[in-house]
Amino acid sequence: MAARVWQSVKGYVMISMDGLGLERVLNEAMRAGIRFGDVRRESRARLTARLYVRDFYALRKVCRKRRVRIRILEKHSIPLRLWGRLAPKALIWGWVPVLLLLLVASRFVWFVRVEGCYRVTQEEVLLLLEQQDVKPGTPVGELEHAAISRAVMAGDERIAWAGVRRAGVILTVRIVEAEPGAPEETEQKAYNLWAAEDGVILSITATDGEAMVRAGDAVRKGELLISGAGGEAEGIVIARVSRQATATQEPGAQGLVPSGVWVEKCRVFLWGWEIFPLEAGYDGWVFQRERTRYIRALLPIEVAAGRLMQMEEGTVQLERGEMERRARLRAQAALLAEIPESARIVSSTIKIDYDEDGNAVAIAVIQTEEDIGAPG
Amino acid sequence: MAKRKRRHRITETLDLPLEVFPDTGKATLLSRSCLVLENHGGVLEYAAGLVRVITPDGIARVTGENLALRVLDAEKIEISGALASLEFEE
Repeated sequence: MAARVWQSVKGYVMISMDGLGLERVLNEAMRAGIRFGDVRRESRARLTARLYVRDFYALRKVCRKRRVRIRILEKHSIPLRLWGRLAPKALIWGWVPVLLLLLVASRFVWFVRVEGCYRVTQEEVLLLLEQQDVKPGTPVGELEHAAISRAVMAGDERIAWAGVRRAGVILTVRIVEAEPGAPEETEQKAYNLWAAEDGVILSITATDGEAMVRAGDAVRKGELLISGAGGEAEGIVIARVSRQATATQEPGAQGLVPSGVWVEKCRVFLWGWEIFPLEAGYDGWVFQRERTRYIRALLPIEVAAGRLMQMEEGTVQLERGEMERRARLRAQAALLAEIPESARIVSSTIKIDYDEDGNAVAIAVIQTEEDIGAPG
Repeated sequence: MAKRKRRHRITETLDLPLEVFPDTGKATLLSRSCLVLENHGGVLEYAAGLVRVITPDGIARVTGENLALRVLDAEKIEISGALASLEFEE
């Protein structure tokens, strides 16, 4: 009786075996540890039997060798029967919590994107937004688009305009950087204007002297642009200038590494928040999980056991994403330092590559429109 | 055969049941409808009216009607149905 109940819980199949020499197959299967039940002879070349599902797969291998055909006639198990009865209801009622969850989740911002960054980095804008409590997880109802725009504009003088748009759970902040101011007037008299950078002339206006190049001309650094012809030379020469900078990031970098001092700890979390906070004295220590158990009976409680490690300065191995981020930032910073304040950035691209030593190499290219006339 | 005789002598001398030897063949009849054969060596023949099983004491020949193997594994065979006879072939 108990065996039958256990069989129903585990699940069993009724099978038929067709072929000759079935006794030999039965003996071979028994030696392989297969247990049969209710074996009945239906005809000379056919018998039926009851098997555990697990044994069915083992028997299949034996039958294949002996050229005996095996077929499932019926499948039985309590989980299967229950599923057959409960599945339709479970499917219907399953949608209710899913829809509720979607409804609740849609009332928060989960992604924050920043567009239009050239001189101002995305990280800087995200920091400004965080100061306004705008970050992933912020309730939609707490967002005041106009106030956020004003705060972003006020937070950095390089940002001329900021617009905030929300589409579902995505908040997009578009910024327009301030146009560069007019170049400072110099009192110094110039007899000629020379090209300060390589570039392609977009426009040239000679207020004094004679223009030596025309719009569309490619000029090299040091080339004469406006000649004073013995007198003074003055004018504005706007050209498109392309600059490139390369920065390399090694896999190892200075950072915090375990000092070797650690204590065993068991911590309890509910939805990622720690229920019993750590006692004082562990500021800056890092928790490394070793075992995690989930108690999902009522609430998603997570019990994590592991080591709480003291950290100190040392060399850390960076992941590829972090290496690329650092290389990108350094290349961009190097380029921005070269670009004059009055230049207007028209495009910015960064490519990441790896050299044979495994270092991340960022190649940043920025195109600007700027006055390249240098007096001399 | 000699082994069987030796075992028989030991169990008789010490007044022990034969089952103390784990590989001894054992046949248990439960009413007329169920026969359990333990420590068998495999099924030689199986049909609705006849089952022949290898045992340590020879080939057990079970006859009857609508014979089914209720349990069949490496240790025991439980034969059910309308049992008519159990014989041993040498």
